[in-house]
This record gives sequence, structure tokens and C-alpha cells, in this order.
Amino acid sequence: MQEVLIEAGGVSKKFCKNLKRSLWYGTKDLAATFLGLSENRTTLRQDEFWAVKDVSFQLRRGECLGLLGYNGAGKSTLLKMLNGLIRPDEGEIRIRGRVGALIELGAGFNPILSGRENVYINGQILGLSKKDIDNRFDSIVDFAAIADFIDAPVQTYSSGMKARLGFAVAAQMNPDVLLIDEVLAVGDIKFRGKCYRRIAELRQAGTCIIFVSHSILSILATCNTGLFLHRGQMLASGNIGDVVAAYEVHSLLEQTTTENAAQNGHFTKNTSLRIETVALQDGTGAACDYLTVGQYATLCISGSATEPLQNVIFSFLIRDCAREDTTSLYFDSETEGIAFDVPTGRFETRLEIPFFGLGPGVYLLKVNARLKNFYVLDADESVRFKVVRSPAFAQGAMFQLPHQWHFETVPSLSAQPTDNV
Amino acid sequence: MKETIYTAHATARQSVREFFQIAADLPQAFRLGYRLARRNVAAQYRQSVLGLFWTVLPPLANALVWIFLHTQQVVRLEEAPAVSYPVFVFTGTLLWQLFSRAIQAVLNSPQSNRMLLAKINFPREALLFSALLEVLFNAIITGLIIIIVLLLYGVPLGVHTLLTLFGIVGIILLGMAIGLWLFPLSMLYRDVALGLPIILQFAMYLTPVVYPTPTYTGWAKILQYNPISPVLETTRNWMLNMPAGSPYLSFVLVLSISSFLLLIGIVLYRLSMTIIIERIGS
Repeated sequence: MQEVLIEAGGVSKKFCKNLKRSLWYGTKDLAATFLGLSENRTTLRQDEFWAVKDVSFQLRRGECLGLLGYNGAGKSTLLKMLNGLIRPDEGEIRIRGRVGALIELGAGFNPILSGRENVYINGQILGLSKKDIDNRFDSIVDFAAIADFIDAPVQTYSSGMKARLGFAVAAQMNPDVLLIDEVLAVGDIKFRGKCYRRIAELRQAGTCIIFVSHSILSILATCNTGLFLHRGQMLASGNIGDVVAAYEVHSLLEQTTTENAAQNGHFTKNTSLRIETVALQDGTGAACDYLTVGQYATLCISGSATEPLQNVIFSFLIRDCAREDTTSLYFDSETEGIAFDVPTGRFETRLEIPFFGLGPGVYLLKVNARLKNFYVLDADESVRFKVVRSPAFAQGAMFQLPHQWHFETVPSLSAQPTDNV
Repeated sequence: MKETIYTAHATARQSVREFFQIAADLPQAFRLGYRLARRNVAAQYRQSVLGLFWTVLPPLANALVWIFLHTQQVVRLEEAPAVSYPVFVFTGTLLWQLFSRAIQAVLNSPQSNRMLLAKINFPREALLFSALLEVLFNAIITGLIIIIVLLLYGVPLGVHTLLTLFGIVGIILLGMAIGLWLFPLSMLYRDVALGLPIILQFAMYLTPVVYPTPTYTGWAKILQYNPISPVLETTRNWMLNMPAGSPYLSFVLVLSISSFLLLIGIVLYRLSMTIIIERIGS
């Protein structure tokens, strides 16, 4: 078993919502500290709340912990405490070895000065010595791939170049503990690949890493343990797969509004067709609020028409909420050459999908009914639903297709029994 | 392997530990402070034509205004200073600006690097070193200008002139001590930074910068206890190659007290940092 590098026990931190009051509390805290008064830090004063409450975990050499949580869950606050920027109000953090933080790339960059000057400034802020930087200067410029511009002022750099140079300097750190906060989201895919390779190298060399990202895929790819924070509370911790699953189930409860009452959100009031409800059904035909990867699924639109309509076209569009503006699926009856004649009265349109292939996540369902010339009769885009994984679904994938495994032994040619006579 | 422990806010007992931690961090803090000071000086003047001249232009302009007022008899002095008035005013305003720069540098350095403070854990004293080095850099340029002024006006340089260095150290020390004690509150409330120039301007007229010390009577007697007066007067006397004279004892007293306050101020600086960052956020 490797040695423990980070030990957090019952760590809590409170913040104040009101700025004026916050400053006043700060003044009082300063006075109390200077005068050596010990005060009760465990009760909340007016307008205060726990940004982080009772978080405990251990991390060993070479491990990587993924911090999951929505915006404002307390992830950055926890990182700041681990980095020693702010102190916990309760509990204790013990860290062995040198701590490095990738929280802001290019800290201390001065726009007027050249890239070369800024490499030295940024490097020394991160704790590298001048000699370290002298020795590794070429590899920094190499990593950032900006050799031609190293003597130009940083204000002429693109944001990608600044980020690359910032990471290139930070990558020279050899910390025992590395804290990473969402910084790798910038930069193009080639650069991100480089960054992840460097992180993997550090981990191999025994650095333990705490990684904050909103991308479940990169967390799954990088981390072996996880911690799910929600409003400062630790809702799950341990094996990364379990934590990601807990995070996904939680986002289902938070975000899903199926069986939506479309009455409020009509596209237009003047048409003769209304979409009243949009619902999901499982394989048995029962209404459900989530779908399972690889299972039978039915999407239903029910509504009514006040006059008979001919050649009505329906469409279902599914978007991935985690990836803005990515259309995951689009079913349009017109492109399939199908149109419906809707008589006066109630109707139900069902789209049956024998194998629902989208991976776990939260999706937005948009439906519309229209006539051939793009005359939209009614539309609804207020249904969000959740897809959960089945036990058979391998984590990390975005999609699954119906498939079958086959295995058979193949008699090798040489060993073939010959019946040559 | 070094183990770091973070618990709830520091108490008096931890202040002692902080003190040793500060000492251990000093070499790295100094190197980083040097780098930051170089950055600031380089960045400050790279985009200007007059460049370094800007460090001394404001006090020189100020001095010229007073010399003008004096030659036009708009301002009359009860008693004439021991040297020619322009020399008196030039030395006074340049020394005063050194003092006010020292206060402001200590306050500005962490203020302008608050993003850095909130995001990265580097030895915090680096920002103080950077402030100190910038002030020293300023002092060198100021010194050169003063020497030129003295030579122009034919003031003889002598043994006492060397003691000026000691006086300049004293001025910077007092300024930095005051700055350090204002620092915690100034990070929380902008009022400090906004009000300081006004107070400093007022203080300048309560100090024998542009006119010699008058004889105070009544309520004005309290002005005798203005701590900067003896420091500035002693330094100027040395600079003009005169003996330090009567303010010398007060000068020594003020320096001892401000050295002590400076040391305490550095510990307060370190202790208050986590509390301040928590309040000013990212």
C-alpha cells in the first residue's frame, strides 16, 4: 500500500452571501486573530452558509481523485483549502510533500512583457527556481509550440497560445500533490491530449492528483477514485464508477420533468392541432420518467385536433444536455416519407424504438407537428429526461448499438484432419 | 517529507509558528519579489516616452509650484530656512514622496496582485519584497536627482551627507510599517485606499516639507508629535551637510518603534492573508 499524501478529516468552510456583512465578519475575524481570541467558528452567523461541510477523504501516492458536482457545489472551495489559500473553519487537512496547483494558467502574466519574460515570472510564482527555468526553457517553448513568438509581448498572443504557454510552464512542476481545476477545457484537442499525457506521466511518477472537471468522460479516463459534492455535502465517495453513477442518478432527480403539461407552452394558439402531453413509455407500455440504455422505449405525443387535417408530419429531436447544441437523435416522419391524416378529436402519436442506444445522461426532447410546407401546428421542447445505464453498458461510452457476441473455435488449417487416402 | 497541516484559523500560539515559517520562506520570497519588482518596473515604463523620469516628475512639479509661489511673494515664511528655499523645497518634496511611496507600495502590491493571492500559494512576503525593491529603486533615482539639485545650488557635500543613507532607510522603514498596519483593512475596504491620498496630502502640510517647522502654540502643539517630522528633518539636515540637530533623539525613538511595528506588521500580514482571501474571493 502506498503512503497517504492527503488526509482530510471533517473539513468544513462557511461563506457569507451578503458582501457588506462578509467584509464586516472578515474585519471581526481579523481582530479576533490579532488579539488571539478563540471564537466559536462552528456556528453560522446571519447570512452565512456551509460552502463545504464535513468532507473527509484520503488519497495515496499515485492515486487520482475526481471531484464531481454542479456549479457552486464547493469543489473550488475545497481545492482552495487543500492549496492552503484559505483555512477550514472545522476539521483538519494534512498534506505531505510539495503541492502544485493548476488552477489558473499563466498566473502573473503581464500583457506588455514578452513571452520569455513572462515564463520566468510565471515559473517563479509556481515555485520553480530561475535555474530550473533556464534549464527547461527550451522544453517549455517546445511544449507550448510558440517558438516564433516567444519574444513578442503576451498581449499579442491568442488565448489558446497564452493557455499553452501557461500550461507548458506549469507542466515543469514535479509536485507530490497536484490540484487541477477545469483548466484543461481551453485549448484545442491536440493540446488537451498533450496535457492529459503529462498528467498521466506525473501520476506514473507517484504524484497524487485531485481533478475537477465537468466532463464525465475525462474524469472516468483519468481518475480511479471520486467524490461527489452537492451543496457542500459529500454525497458519494470511493470507486470512480460508483461515484459517477451516483452523480448521474442525482442529476436525474434534479432535472427531470417528464409528463409535462404542455398547456402552458403552446407554440401558437391559432392552429387546429394541439400537443397536450409528451411522455415516455418503457417496453411494457407503462409511463416512466427515465429510459434505460439498450431497452425498448416509446416516445408519445398526445393531443387533439379541432378539424380534420391531412398529411400531418411529426418529428422528435433529442439533444444531449451535457453537450450544448448537440443533436443526438432526430426522427422526422417527412424524411421517412410518412405523413398522417388526423381526424377531429384526440390522437396519440407513438415512436417505438426497440433498442434505445443513447448512453447515460440527461437529454432534452423536442417535438413538433407540422404540415408539409413547414407550417408548424404546435411544438413542445420542455421535456427533459434521463437515461440510465443497464448493467451490461460499459461506462464511458456515449452510445450503444444492438449487437451480439460470437465465439467459436476455428480448427487450424495445419491440424485439420485429413482423410487423404 | 514536509507535512503541512491546515486547521481552523490561527490563534496567538500559531503566530509564533508563523514567524518561523516566514523566516524559512524568506529566500524564495526574496527571489520572487525581485522578479515581480523587475516585472513591474519594466512594464510600467515600457509604454512611455519619458520612462523613468516619471518617478520624480510629480514631486519636482510640486516643488516648482512652491518655489514659484515663494518667489512671487504669494507665500511668505515667518522664518527663512537655513539653506536657499529652492533647495529646501526640492529636498523636502523628494523625501516626502519617498515616504508616501513606501506606504502606498505596501498597500498597492498585494492589492494589484489579489488574483494571484486568491489562486496561487506562493510565499506572500514576496509582494512585500517587491514593494520594498520598487521603493528602493525609486530612492536611487530620487537620490540622483537630489545630488544634481545640491550640486546645482552649490551645497557642499561632506561627512554628514553619507548619513543621509541612514535617514532614507528610516523614511522607508516608517512608511512600510504604517503601510503594513493599514494593509488588512485596506484589502477589505476600498475606503482606505481612497482616503489615504487625502490624508497624506494633509499630513504633508503638517510636516516641514515646504516650510520650516513653525513654533506651535495651543492645539497645534500636538503636531510636535507628528512622527514623520523628526525623521524627515534629520534626513534633510544630513543631506544639506548639517548636523542632525535637535530632532535626532526623536528620530532614533521613531525608528526603534517603527522597526518593532514593522516586525509585528509582517506577522499580521501573514496571519490576515487567509482571512482576506476568503472575503475577497477569486
